[in-house]
Amino acid sequence: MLRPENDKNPLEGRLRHTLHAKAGEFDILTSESIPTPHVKSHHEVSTALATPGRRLNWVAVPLVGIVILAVVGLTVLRSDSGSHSSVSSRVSSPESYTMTASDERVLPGQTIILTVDGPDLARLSGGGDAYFEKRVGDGWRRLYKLVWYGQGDPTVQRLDATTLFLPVQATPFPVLIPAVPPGAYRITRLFDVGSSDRKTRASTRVTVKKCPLGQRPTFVEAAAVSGPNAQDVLTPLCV
Amino acid sequence: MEQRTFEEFYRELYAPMTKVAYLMMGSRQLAEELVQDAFIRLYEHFDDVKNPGGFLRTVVTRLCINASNRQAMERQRVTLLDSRVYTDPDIDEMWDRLAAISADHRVVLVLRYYEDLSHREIARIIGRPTATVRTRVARALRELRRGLEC
Repeated sequence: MLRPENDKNPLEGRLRHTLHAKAGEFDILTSESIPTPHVKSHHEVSTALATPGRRLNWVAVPLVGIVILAVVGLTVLRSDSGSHSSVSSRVSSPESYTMTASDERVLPGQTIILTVDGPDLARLSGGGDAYFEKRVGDGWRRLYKLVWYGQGDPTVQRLDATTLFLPVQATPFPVLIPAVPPGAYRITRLFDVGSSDRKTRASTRVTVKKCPLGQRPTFVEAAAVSGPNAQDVLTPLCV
Repeated sequence: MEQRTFEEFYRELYAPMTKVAYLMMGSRQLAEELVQDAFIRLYEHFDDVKNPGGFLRTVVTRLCINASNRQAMERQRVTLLDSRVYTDPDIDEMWDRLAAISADHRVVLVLRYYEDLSHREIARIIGRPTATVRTRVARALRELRRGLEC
């Protein structure tokens, strides 16, 4: 078997490293969508099994089914054991609060409205920021802050931007989609519950679509942004 | 020795085969579809196949080559590569270069540097002489290097 130490030059080592890193990344990507291909495979294998003239393996169908159910079950368990509690666009936080997006398929620069639902919403107050996250490993990496102070237009800001602590109502909450490559992302908001120190969280998934043909997602210079931390405000667009 | 069932091979080989196909195609969806096709073929020939793992690797590789050579598939692959998870600039740069080289070259690089196969094993899989594989790997590396130096 070939080993990295057998690589004759740095390029081979780098290539090997890249291939293994991308294969690992495939695990990350797949962990969210195993059910679909496995259900499909079940269907296709079942179809193959049922085709007349072929030897029918009576054990095959139930066993494939069991495998599929096990994988789906493991996927759900794995998701539940992740660093955050919300695993789908409408999965409740521990407090049974759910957050939904007005549009789940979005474009960079698009504004959508997040709506929180759950018991006794009046007890919830949210900060003026949400987080735009992508999946990395078993957890989620924050990419941008999505800021809205209760009036005006929502903005996108860098993570290191200092945002004001300005509680706003939990719902509705508009957010601006950052300039990111197409793919699945998550938006998370943190809430204070009543007057206690307790916090809860609600998340929703969005899929960022590819920009129209010939355009790319990018942040452009904000022409006239005012207000707190105007220098940190990013303006996402497809251009 | 106890005869292993199709389901056991499916359970064991689905994920690794899909990874290989993903590296060859750059698209998760295409990789999954091609591996599904490969398993269907394995099922059809299961009684006659002595080495299901080898059979699957060969079928997946050839399906990937065929798919990559179809222009429509190629367009889709390039599009889907845009949806990669960004990790490390070095990795992204190399991944982009891999997407840019020909399918024949990409396939041999994946088999050689991810699957750790010898030139002879690769030759058997893609149905070409060993010398051709050796040349193809060298050219693929040269093509990669050229792109990275730009």
